[in-house]
Formats: sequence, structure tokens, C-alpha cells
Amino acid sequence: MPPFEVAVTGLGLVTPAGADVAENWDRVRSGRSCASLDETLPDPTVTCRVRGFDADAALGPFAARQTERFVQLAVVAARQAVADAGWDTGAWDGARVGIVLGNSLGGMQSVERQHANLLGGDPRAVSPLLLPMFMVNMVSGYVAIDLDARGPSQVTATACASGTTAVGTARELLRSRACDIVVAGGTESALTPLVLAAFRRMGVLSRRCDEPATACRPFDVDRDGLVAAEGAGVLVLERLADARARNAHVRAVVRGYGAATDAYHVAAPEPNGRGIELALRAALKDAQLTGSDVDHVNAHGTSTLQNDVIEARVLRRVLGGRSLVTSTKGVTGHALAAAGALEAAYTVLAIEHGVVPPTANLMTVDPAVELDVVRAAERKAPVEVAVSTSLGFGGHNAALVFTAA
Amino acid sequence: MNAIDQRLAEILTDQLKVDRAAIDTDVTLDSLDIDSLVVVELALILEKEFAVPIPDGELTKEMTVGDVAHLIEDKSGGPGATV
Repeated sequence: MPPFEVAVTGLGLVTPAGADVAENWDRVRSGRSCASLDETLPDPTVTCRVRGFDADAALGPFAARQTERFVQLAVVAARQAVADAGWDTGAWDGARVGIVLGNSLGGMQSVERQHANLLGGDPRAVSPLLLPMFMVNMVSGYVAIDLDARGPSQVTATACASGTTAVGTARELLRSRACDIVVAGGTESALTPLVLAAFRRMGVLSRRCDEPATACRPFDVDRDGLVAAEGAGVLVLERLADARARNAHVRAVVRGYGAATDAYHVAAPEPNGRGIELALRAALKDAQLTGSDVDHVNAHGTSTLQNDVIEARVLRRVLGGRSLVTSTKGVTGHALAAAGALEAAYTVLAIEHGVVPPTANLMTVDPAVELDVVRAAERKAPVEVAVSTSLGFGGHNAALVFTAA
Repeated sequence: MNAIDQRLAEILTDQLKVDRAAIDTDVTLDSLDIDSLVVVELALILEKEFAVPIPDGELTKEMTVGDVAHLIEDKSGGPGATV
């Protein structure tokens, strides 16, 4: 049986690197970090925020007031992706359209605000909108309303692998023919004092607050932690044959997906990377390809001490040393549950343009990283087969294999 | 439009972000997209603004803007009495 191929017919991105796909790609190719010292947080913290996003203009003030930012970003990214795919939501059969979006932390802003109200002494001061504003699944609900998508919808929650899990899950909905179109991706916006304090206490944040623009430096020997980010990325997926039949512009093909779990520790990656290795090998097998076929990897590359070396060893072991590897987190920061979706989109763009973006701030490659990591400037090269990897707290691992259209 | 009507319209626009042009005494809260959850929010806001008790369930989305204004008037002892 040939591999099951799904067309990526639309992309949408609202991230620290830009308000649309074109802005994102320019910024990611430039290798300029979006990180800055975050003035909204009580302790010195470097983050990557989405700049200039006007929720009132995008959703209308009435709806914007009743939605949290993780939903707002996703709604706008989804609209972009659907428009890019050439679909008119007024004309499509919404019952055949599914939504699968990754999210981890929901509307933490609402949680913190309403908890403060509760502590004020009056339980009635807690907003009746708290649950619809903070629950992670609400983003698929809102996007479904916005797009009149009435097929199956869900939110995948595999921490920082959520966006990748969403694309893989969406592919299965197409394979089973439960849907004809799936709007898939991820969103996250939880750069709140409580969440950042928790990340800091875990010891995973970069402490390079005196030079925020170089704080996130994946695979660099001097990396000292991740830079948390927000954003949303959405892909429109259709069976390749269907997309070709309607003469859609196929940007790239999702040809393989694999997922696996470390079953080791809730936060620390298994030291040998057995989970990500299992996921990557499963994705290649699903795609009926081998490691040596892979031209490019958009790695998880968080800039934490542990992740980058463990992941690099697995990539070397499974793929060999030929693939051009990058971590676009050097530019965008780590958008947590959205990261896999952003990186899926950047992988598609790398295939389309024959360009592998540089890993921002990579001065000296860690000697333990025996890979051809693109640094300093983008590398032009034909990309026929590309992989995007994601790892998440909880021991979640996921990998996608993309091929040229 | 008395002081209560005026203040109610301001609350609907400024706090709930309802389109001002759509607000009229005859329109129901429901037709302004104020659903059962936002009604609960509105009741609490009105309690504080007008210093009148509005027990849960007394305000409904089927009420018109005029009905809400009357409710507040009745509770506060007349049009504009507390504003």
C-alpha cells in the first residue's frame, strides 16, 4: 500500500515573527531573534510576544472581550489558512470540515484574574465566562464557529508537541474519511506571571536577560535555556487526490507521522531520547522513507541544555549527518503547544522555497551536536523530504515527514 | 432618556462592548448577543453600579433594555434616584 499523502493547501501564522505567513518567512530567514525583556512580568524574563495584534479589529470588540488571546490568535491564523487554501467557508460543506488544534495552557490570563476576584472574598465576583475563556478545548469550538466547521473538532494536549500531534491526528481524520478538510495546528498564549514563575522554578528559562536578543540559542555550546513565546500556526489539510482534483495549490505533502512516549519522567527527557527516536522512526516508516532520504529537519531545538543534545544524538543516529538541521526557535522563541504548528508551517515553506533558515544566535555548535546545523545565514538547497520533530513535558514525542508537492 | 437609561447604555457599550447603535429600549438582551452567561456578568455589574441587589436569575436575556432599566428604577426608588 502506498503511503497516505495529505496536501497542505493553506497556511496561517500569527507569531512573534509576524502577522502573516509572508512576514513570518522573511523574519525566520533573516535569523533575527524576536526576543526581548518582558516589561509586563514582575521578574526579569525574556519572552517573544506577538506585536501589534488587534483583537478588537479581528473579532469585533464584543467577541474579543469574551475570548482569551490563545483563541484570538488561532481564529486569525485559521482564517488566513482557509483563505490561502482558496476555500470560502460560506460555500463549503461544513459537516465535512474538522478542526484539530494543539494547546496546553488555555486562557491562564482569565484563571489568574478570576482567582484574584475569588480571593477578594466574593465568590459571585468570579466571572461566568471563566470556563469558556480558559478551557483548552474552547479554541477548537471558537474556530469551528468562526469557520462553520461542523465535523469532528478537538484540542490535542501533548504539551510542546501539541501542534505536531494535531497535524498527525488531522491526517488520521482524513485517512479514515471522517473529514474531507481538516484545519489543524496549534496555539498558545500564556505568558503570565504565574506560568513564567513556574517555568523559572523548573530551571528551564534562559537567564540571559542582559542580552535578550541572544537568549535563545539552540544547539549552541553556551545555551542556557528556552525563551517562552506565544503564537498560532494553522494548516489546511486535504487528501492529496482531493486537492489535486479541485486544482488547489498544494504547498507540500504530509506523508508520515509518528508519536511515542518516553514513559520515563514527567518533565525531563529520557537521556537516550528513546521516545523521540521511536516517534521519528515511526514517522519515516509511515512515509515509507529512510533516514538518509531526509534533506532537512526543523528540529525541536529548544535551547535547553538537555533537549538539544538528546535530540541531536537521535537525529544523528536515525538520519545520519547529511540533513540540513535548523531550529527556528532561535527566532520565534518557544511557543509551547503552538511550536509544532509553527514549525510545520516553516518546514512547508522551506520545501517550497528550497531554503533552510538559519538557527539564530548559534555561534559555536555544541561539540555533542554532530549535525549540519545551519547557522549565520540561510542555506539554499533543494528540499524534497523534510522532518519536523517535537518533544513535550509528559514525555510526549511526535514527528512529521513532509515531501515536496 | 433618564439617567438610568443613559448609564445602562454606557455599561452595555463600555463594559460589555455591545454596539451602541444596536441599543434601544425595545431590543432584548438576547438580540444584542447577550447570552445567559453575559447576563450573569451584567447583573453583577448593575448591582455594583446602582447599589441594588439583583439575585441570580432575576435578569434574563429575554428582557429588553427598557425592562432592565425599569427593574433598576423599581429597586432604587425611581428614575435616576441613585445616579
